[in-house]
Amino acid sequence: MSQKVAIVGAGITKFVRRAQETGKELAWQASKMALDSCGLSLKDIDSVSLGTAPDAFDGVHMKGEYLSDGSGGWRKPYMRQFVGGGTGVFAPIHGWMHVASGMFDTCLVVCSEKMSTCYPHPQGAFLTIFDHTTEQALDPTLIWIFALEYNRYMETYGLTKRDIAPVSVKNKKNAMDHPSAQLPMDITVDDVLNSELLAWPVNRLDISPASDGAAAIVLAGEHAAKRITDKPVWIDGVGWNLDTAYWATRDLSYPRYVEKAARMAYDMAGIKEPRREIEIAEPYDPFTYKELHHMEGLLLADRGEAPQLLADGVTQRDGDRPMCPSGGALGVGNPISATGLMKVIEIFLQLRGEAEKRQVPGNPTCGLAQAWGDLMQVGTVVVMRR
Amino acid sequence: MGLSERIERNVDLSYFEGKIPVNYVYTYGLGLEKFFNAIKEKGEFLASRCPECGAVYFPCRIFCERCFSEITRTFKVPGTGTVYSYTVCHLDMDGSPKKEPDVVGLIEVDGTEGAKFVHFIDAKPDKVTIGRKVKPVLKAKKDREGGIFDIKGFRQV
Amino acid sequence: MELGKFKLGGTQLKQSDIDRGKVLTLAQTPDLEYAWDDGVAIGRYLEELKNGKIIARKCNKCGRIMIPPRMFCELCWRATDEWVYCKDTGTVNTYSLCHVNWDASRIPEGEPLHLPALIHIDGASPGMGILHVLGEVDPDRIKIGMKVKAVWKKPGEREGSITDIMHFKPLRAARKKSKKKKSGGR
Ligand SMILES: [Zn+2]
Ligand SMILES: [Zn+2]
Repeated sequence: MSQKVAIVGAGITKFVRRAQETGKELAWQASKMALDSCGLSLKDIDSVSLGTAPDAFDGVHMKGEYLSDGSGGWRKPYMRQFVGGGTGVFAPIHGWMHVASGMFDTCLVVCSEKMSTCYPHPQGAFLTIFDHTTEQALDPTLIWIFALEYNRYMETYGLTKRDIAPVSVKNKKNAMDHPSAQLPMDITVDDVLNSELLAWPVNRLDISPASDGAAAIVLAGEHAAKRITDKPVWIDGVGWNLDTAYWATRDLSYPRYVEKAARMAYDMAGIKEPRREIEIAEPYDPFTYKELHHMEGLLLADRGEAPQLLADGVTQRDGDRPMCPSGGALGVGNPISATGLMKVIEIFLQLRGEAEKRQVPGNPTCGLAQAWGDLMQVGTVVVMRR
Repeated sequence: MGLSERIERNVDLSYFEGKIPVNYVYTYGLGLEKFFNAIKEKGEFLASRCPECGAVYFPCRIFCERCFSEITRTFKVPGTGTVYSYTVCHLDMDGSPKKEPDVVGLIEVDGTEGAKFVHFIDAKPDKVTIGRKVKPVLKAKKDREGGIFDIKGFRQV
Repeated sequence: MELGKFKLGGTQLKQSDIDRGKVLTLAQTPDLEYAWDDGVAIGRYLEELKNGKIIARKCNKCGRIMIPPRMFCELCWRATDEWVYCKDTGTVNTYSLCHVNWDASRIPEGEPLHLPALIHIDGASPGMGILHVLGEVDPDRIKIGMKVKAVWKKPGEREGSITDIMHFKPLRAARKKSKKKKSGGR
């Protein structure tokens, strides 16, 4: 690796169920804010890494091309990244490669999503995520696979829904302090358990919403970063990993692919004891149990132990190991790729001490963001330090 | 072992038929909302100029893709232009022959420093020439809904 | 930088903004039809389903008997070696009681729920599961680890599809006493 890479600026839109802006207008709003936040203009940007989820959501084939103008890709080296829900952390990993390799001094990383175009909802697009010949004929909904994984997770460790529901309470509450938030709420565990039952064990308040929104960050190499800001946040480790495409044959109780991605990132960042060194994390939380599942995959909790940490308040903003201080996908919203990048931005702001009411105490110096996706088989991780 | 060695005739292959059952509702966005409302309400065509680098966009947009500046103002152009290029389409979307071929033009729009716009040209295929002046033909106001077909097409003048 | 110091983009629309045409929108339904080739391994799998049998494929290097069958082993990264028939029984690895249809519409009160499950098939390697649905069972009595057996369509009605198995039903106990449950086919 020929140079260190820092995040020097960030931008984000509100996350909303249905935005008037087109995907490219959202991308521009977030990207422009990211440049403004660090006093750069588009001519200072050497390369662009775009992340965006399935084309079928926006109803635009070749979404990479479509979003290029709003992402600052005009006449620049421009590349689209895509690993389903894992995209939002995969796009900055690619941006990191662009800069760490020494090919570029700066990279604008943009993630934009307009899921509301699928009308009234994106279930038809989700249907074709399943194998066309062996699974689609069973009329699956996407919720099936999460319900099945959720159930297996509970069974393996003897957990109940009451052990898991507090994730929703915590994240939706945290989101009340996030200016982009779509579903900030002050609710109780009973509210979660009594919300509409979709596919047992998944209730309405266990699930993140479909959203429109965009996020962007500016990456810079070591020398450029120090010129641009006196508060760079360094990307010290990146990791990504994919499990078998035969999802029905995986061990659903433990995301080994997330562990592999985390170990790759920890090795790169020189992290030996993640539980001591990672002070704050944004694990991907499209469903309640996923935050816990991912904490375990990230080695931030023993297998089956994450619900206890949740119960003990360890993962609250003022706990020893805050998880999803932003409010996460459950609270801020889930415009697929933009969610992952929102998580990266949250760690960036937390490490700079600029998270306002969301700020965790103790001046954290090292944090992590993670996303998860494809057919629930990919883990993407970045480790950041100030 | 070739994975497909048993298959000698394509028609013997078995397959599973399906669709991606989606419906879309696209919002026009902030830029095109202005553009199509101006056509619908006033029969006017709006372009925009970047206040920083001067790039001109037609239809109007809310940001400049070249320098990323915000663009808040629009200006009227007559909607007339010049045939920059064209093609004559004899086949329909599904590959079947059309009764009357369509002439699809790429029109360089007057007053926009070279911005181009795709639409139909209302002319016999052998009467279209590159470089000819064209003007837009709008639907009657009561029939306009705010969309690309509020413009019926362009006619050579 | 603090997010609170910026005016964030993203203009929230209400459903009524669309319904009442307050903003311009364009509705479209793409007309895309597909014919997905079954391929070699799944082609044989479906042919055997038509015969009322479940077939897997074995890799002689790692010894795994894989279902759904595949012509290459993704672990050893080599061609698989032989066809192996499995039983039409298995074990529920996990399941859900689903109250919504594939299109997110709610199953009306009183109608049977969808009961998706991952079923580890007997005769395949441990952990080799397929997605299917359960039937002829009281939803409240489904248990992880429960033994189940395929319920096949009549031979003449089978068409070489995963739905030639209507559902899996419990081998014993937990059977539903009341009327038969409809399978989840479209
Ligand atoms: Zn400009
Ligand atoms: Zn093998």
